[in-house]
Order: sequence, then structure tokens, then C-alpha cells
Amino acid sequence: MIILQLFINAFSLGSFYALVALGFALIFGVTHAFNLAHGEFVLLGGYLAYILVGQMHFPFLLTLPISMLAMIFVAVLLQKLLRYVNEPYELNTLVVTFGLALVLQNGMLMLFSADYRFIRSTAPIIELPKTQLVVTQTQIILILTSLLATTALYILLRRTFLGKALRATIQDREAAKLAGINVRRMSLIGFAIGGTLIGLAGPLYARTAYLYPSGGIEATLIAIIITIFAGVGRIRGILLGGWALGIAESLTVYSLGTGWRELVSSLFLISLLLLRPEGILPRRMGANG
Amino acid sequence: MGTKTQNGFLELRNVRVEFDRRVALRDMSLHVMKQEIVSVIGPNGAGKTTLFNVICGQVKPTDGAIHFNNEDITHWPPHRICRAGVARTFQIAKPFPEMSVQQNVLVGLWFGSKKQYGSLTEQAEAEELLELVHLSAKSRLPAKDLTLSEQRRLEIARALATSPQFLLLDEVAAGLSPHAIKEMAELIKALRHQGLTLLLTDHFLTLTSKVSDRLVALDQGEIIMEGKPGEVLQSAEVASAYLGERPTRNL
Amino acid sequence: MMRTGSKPAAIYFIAILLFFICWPFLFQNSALYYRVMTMTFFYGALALAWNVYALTGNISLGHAAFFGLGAYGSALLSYYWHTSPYLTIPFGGIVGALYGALWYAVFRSLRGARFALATLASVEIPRVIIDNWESFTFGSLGLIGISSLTTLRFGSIVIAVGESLKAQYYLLLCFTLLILFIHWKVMKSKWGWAIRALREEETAASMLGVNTNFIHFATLLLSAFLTGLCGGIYAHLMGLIEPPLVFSLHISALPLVLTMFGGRYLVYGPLLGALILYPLDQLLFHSLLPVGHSILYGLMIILTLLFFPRGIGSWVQKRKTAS
Repeated sequence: MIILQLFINAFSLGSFYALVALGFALIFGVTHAFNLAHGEFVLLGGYLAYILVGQMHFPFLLTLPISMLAMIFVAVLLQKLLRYVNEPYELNTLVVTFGLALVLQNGMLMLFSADYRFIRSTAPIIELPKTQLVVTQTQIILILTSLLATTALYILLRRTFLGKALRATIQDREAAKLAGINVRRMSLIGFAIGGTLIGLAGPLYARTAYLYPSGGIEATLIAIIITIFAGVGRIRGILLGGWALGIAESLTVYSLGTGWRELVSSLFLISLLLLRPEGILPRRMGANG
Repeated sequence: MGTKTQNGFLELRNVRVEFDRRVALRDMSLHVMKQEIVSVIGPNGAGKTTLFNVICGQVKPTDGAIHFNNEDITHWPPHRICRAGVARTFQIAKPFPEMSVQQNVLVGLWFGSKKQYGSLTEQAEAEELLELVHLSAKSRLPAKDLTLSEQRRLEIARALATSPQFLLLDEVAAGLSPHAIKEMAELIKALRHQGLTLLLTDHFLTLTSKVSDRLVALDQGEIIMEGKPGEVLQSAEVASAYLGERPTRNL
Repeated sequence: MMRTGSKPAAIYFIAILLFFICWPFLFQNSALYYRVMTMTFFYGALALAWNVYALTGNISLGHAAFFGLGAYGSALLSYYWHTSPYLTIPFGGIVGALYGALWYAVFRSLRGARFALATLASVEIPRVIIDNWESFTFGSLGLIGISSLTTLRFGSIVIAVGESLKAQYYLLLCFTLLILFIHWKVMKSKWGWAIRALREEETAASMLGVNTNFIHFATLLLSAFLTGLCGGIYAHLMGLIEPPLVFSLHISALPLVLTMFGGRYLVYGPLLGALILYPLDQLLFHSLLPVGHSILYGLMIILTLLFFPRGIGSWVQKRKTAS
């Protein structure tokens, strides 16, 4: 029974991770901008939701669209900023957003202090009939949202004209340019959609994990791990990657305790960087959405 | 397929190069004799650049052996192959962009040849090499400020700075005017006269008939024909390999 | 680009050096001055140590690993075996270098962003191990009571380094000058040209006879060793260390900020960045924004990278040569 409960928790955690990763993966896929401040952006959405719920008594679900809108705005600002970055683009955006992460971290520290914050769910815990398994409303929302978001993104990329253009830009920027695609506009759109996804993840983050200014780096690392695991431009892989990471981490915490969690994720990341370099190569033959 | 290997200055024996699922070179056996000028021709994707890369150590063969000057260099790292006397230019020029033209050549002098770092004559020697490729006027400019064809010439001067015995020139005539091609051909012949052995790739067949002793035609990673320029260029097999391509002249 | 007009630069250098040497005699003993400048020199040395490897073009975001290992190696040796700090500090350097060798073995094929990420992740490994190995390292409680730098005796001259802020000031000034010297030698030598060639165009460099693998290995090892030394000094200077402190992102980020600001390709660049930014942060920003003052560093990275990627040092140089 414990194993099954563990599995449910891992599954929901994994869905959460996948959601956090989606925005990063899309932005990186379309523009090759390495946003090391990704986690801080998610936190921003989280803090926003926290204020809306805590001080203005908004219903939680309303914070989602608000956060998404706010994050689109922020993401587009970031895109404008990153246009000034020179070659090598991947490395330089990594360093610039590294600085941005420091700025955001300290900004949040000044605004919200280092206290841990959390949005408590008022919904009752649901017990699955005939079993001793429990699942919270938050967990259900997480699983549903991540499935919906992934499906929506998948449909966008595969079935719409815009999606085709985006995929072409992901696969081969130069070729897309030659084919007449406005890659600049694609970058903007990529960031905007990425912002939406980040904005979606933010409030859910505040319901799942503690909000504190230096918590962003972990979310960023998770996003990077899953993106590399899935391979650039592959969306289905992100769900799988999220679940895999969720299970791996849950097992680690279960058997070794929380102290070893970061070690496992770090080793995961290093192995991926070594074994799956094509996860971040600029050109990839036959990438699917 | 390949000719019977005699003891060449450079010898490839049954070299095979595979990338992921693609075979770039199959069972390639090739030899180049001392002070020969050999040109490798073939359509795009035939394996010309891979051939250069595997000789110079940028790529390791999956199978087979490469011998230079009677030494087995198959698994040597590039810098060691360079010190042994092999130098190359790159099809897409790779100058050190922030260094001056002269400094680019000096790097070759310092690390590739036996010359001392900081010797009194090094700048003069670098200038001599730049003179050879008509780049003396731009000696102090940063290499990134050169035009593409000037950068190609810099590559040659830099490669020569390593005091090579064997020089590989990768598409060195591409995009050159007929006059410049003529000058390049003169340079190549002069280099051979000074004792160098040369291996060229020449996709557009512009230099080939002017300088080569021997032609090797590649297609899909294999040698399809080898021999005197006249014979090879008239062969139907070579022509059909190039079909769909548009060689600019002399086929 | 690597030419620092030798005569005027040397004069400036000596003038500034004399200034730092003489200040304590000219002005009254100011504990604040000593504390701030000692750490300024310290971070300058750390930045120089970092830049030794950054010169190859590979930006490391994980030098805190060497720092933390140096700090713990040094502190543990001192704690358990009561070895003199002047021996534990080099030992800390060696521990750092060993991890550097491990980096080379595992990360040798990685470049650019991939490399930066891998180094970032690699800090977690020693940090988590030390954090959990409480029986030996005291884990998250931290190691306290590390012996301070022991007194030096030269004949009848006694320098109580451990107690005197003034002595620590001069000691660190000397240390930083040593690291500056090493940095200078690395840049302005045949080795320096090999590193530069490797940075600008690795494939061509190797085909011109530069042993690129060895250069990567040697510079990484040196950089790791020097950073480990800094960690050891930190341990004995502060007297207490704990994993989140010595393996922090701040320790990894600071050398990067200082170097980029001061000038990545200048001999004195990293040190210049430290001399400007650190006192600015400690004296000005700390009082204006007691909580979020590190925001300065983040802003500096962004501004530097976008608007003067070669650092303020070379910007100043360009203006001098233009006029």
C-alpha cells in the first residue's frame, strides 16, 4: 500500500515537474536562450498568487489566468533584453540570466523576506474508496493541469500552422529563415507561450512547495534536467521525464531521506549532459513535437 | 576499392569511418608519394572532408590504419600529427579572430615548428610567410577583419608556419577569380618545388588539371577511380557521380 | 587586446601598490578599512584564480566546489591532526586540485553552456556528502573553532597574524600579489598564447600543434588548486565554516562578476573588478539595501555582458588609446 501511495505522490510530483519544465523547454527549443532565471520566474508567479489569495482573497483558480498574463508580459520583456546578447548565444544568455536570477532573488528577498510561504489548500483530502490511498485536491489539479497543458501544447505544435512554423524554427533556425519564416516573430511567440506556461506553474508551485527567494534555482535545475532528458523540441518526452524524475526523487527521499535529494538530481543532470548531448545540440534531425 | 598500396609517404589502409548510422568512408585505401600533388574530387557528401579529418586526427577511424612517414598515426591526437609534419587548411576558414594576422602565423610558428618562442627572427619569418600569400599589407589587422578569401590565404600561411612536409589544402580555390586561381596554382607548384607533398580537395575542378600529378575520385565514401587527370576527368563513371551537380568548368 | 602598454601600466601598478602598503601608516588604525580591504584582496585573488581557467573560454559556475573542498580539507586537517595552517592551506589547495582532475576526467568533452551547467551541478556532490557525513564533518552544524592563522616569528620579529587585523591585511595583500603574479605568468607566456589560441579557435589550435587536452587539464588543475587555497585561507580567517556557506552559489558567482566587470582578458582585470565592486557593495550598498545588496552583482553581470563585454578595464584602455 505504501508503495502505491508513494507512486501517487511521485506521479503528482512528476506532473508538477513536467509543468515547471514545459515553459523552459519551449523557450529553449525555439530560441536557444538558456534562461537560468526560470525558477525565479516561476516563483514570481507563485508570490503573485500568494498575495492574491492571502491579501486580496481571490479564489485560487482565478490566480492562474492572472499569473499567466503577468508572466507573458515578463517573458516578452526578457526576450527584448536578450536581443542584445552577443555570440555565443547559449552561453551568454546563460550568464546574463544567471545575473538576472541574482537580481530577482534579491528583489524577492527585499519584498517578501526569507520567510517560507505557502498557499494552504482548504479542500478536504480525498480518500480513494476501498483503499487506504489518499490524494489531495492540489495533486489532482497538478496532474490534470500538466496533462492539459502538454496536450494543448502538443496540439498547437502539431496541428496548427503556427505550430508548424515553431517546429521548423526549433529544428533548424537557418533553414526556417530561408523558408520565409519570421524567426524573430517566432522567438517572441516562443517566449510568450513559454511565459504562459511559467505563469501556469507559478501558483501551483505555491500550493505544492514552499516559496522562498532562493528556492528558484532548484526549479530551474529540474526544468533543465527534464528538457535535456526529453530532447529539444520533444514535448511528449517532458511528461515522461517529469514522471521519471518524480519517481526517482521520491524513491531517494523514501530510502535515504531528504538530505540526498539534490545529489541525485545533480548526478542525473551530469549524466544527461554526458550521455545525451543531442538534447542541446542546435540541429536535430527528425525532432517531433 | 583502391590501388595496391606501395609504401607511400602517406598511406591509408582500409580506413572506415562511421558516424552514428552513416558510413562516411568505406574501406579506403590511398597512398601519396613524396612530393606528389594529388587531388581528391567528388560530389558533395563523397567524403572528401572526412578524409582530411581522419588523416589529421580530428576524427578517429572506426577501422583501418593511417601511416605517415612510416609511422602509425591512426590514433594520434591532432597536435602530434602536426608536429610530425602534417598541416592542413580548413574549407571554412578558422582564423583566430581576435589575434592579428601576424599573430595567427606566429602561433603556427611557436607550436607547430621547432622554432623557439620569443626568438628575434620570429616576426620576420612570419612576415615572409605572409608575403608568400600576399597578406603583408594586412599583417597588423585582426584576422576577423579579413575577407573570406584573405582568411583562406591566412590559413595557408599559418599552416606553412608549422614547417610541414605534407600539406592538405581543403577547397582552397573555392570562390577565387581565374587570376587568383592561377596564382594559387603557381604557389602550389612552388611549394612542391620546395619539397612539400600536397593533397588537395577540389570540388569544382578548377585547380585540378593545372597542378595535379594524380586524381582520386570519391563517391559515397569510396574511391571510384584513380589516375592521371586527363583519364579521370573523361571517365563516364566520374561524370555520372557528379550528375545532378553542376561543376563549373572543365568536365 | 592583450597588450597593456607596459610603461604606464607598470607605473600605475606600483603607485597603487604603494598606496595599499602605506595606507595603514598614513591613516589611523581603522578596523573597518582592514576588514573590507582584506576581503577585497581575498575576493580579488579568488577571481584571479577563477579566471585562470576561464581564459580557455570555458565559463565555470561551479568553482565553489574547489573552494568548499579546500576549506573543509584545510579545516578538518587542522581540527583532527592539529596541523599548522600554513600546511593545511596548501593541503586544501591539493584537495581542490584533485576534484579539478575529476572534472577534467568527466567533463572533458563538454563545452560552453553544457560545461557551465555540469560545473553548477557538480557543486552539489561534495556539499551533500559533507552535509550528511556528520560524524566526520559535523554536517550542517558546521565546523567551528578552526584555529586562526598562527603567529609568525622571524628572529626577533613576531607577527601575531591570528589576532591582528593589520597583519591579516598585509598577509592577504601578499597572497593576492602572488596570485596576480601567477595569473600574469599564465597570460603572458607561451602557455598564455596556447590558451588564447584554444579559446579563439580550438580545432585550428590543435592542428597547429597546441596540445589542447593538456592545456585544459593543466589550467583547470591550477585554477582548482588556487581556488582551494583560497578556501583554506577562508577557513582559518573566519574560524567557522558550514556547507551552505562555502559551497554557495555566491562563491561561484562572485569571481565571474568581478572578472567580467574588471576585464576578462587583462592581467589585472579580475583584481580591478574586486577593488571597485567589493568595497562599493560593502560600504555603500550594504547600508542602502541591507537585505538585498547582492542585487548589485546581478545587475553588474547583466550590464557588463550586454554593454561592455570586455569589462570596464578594457573600456578604459580603449578610451585612453583613442584620446
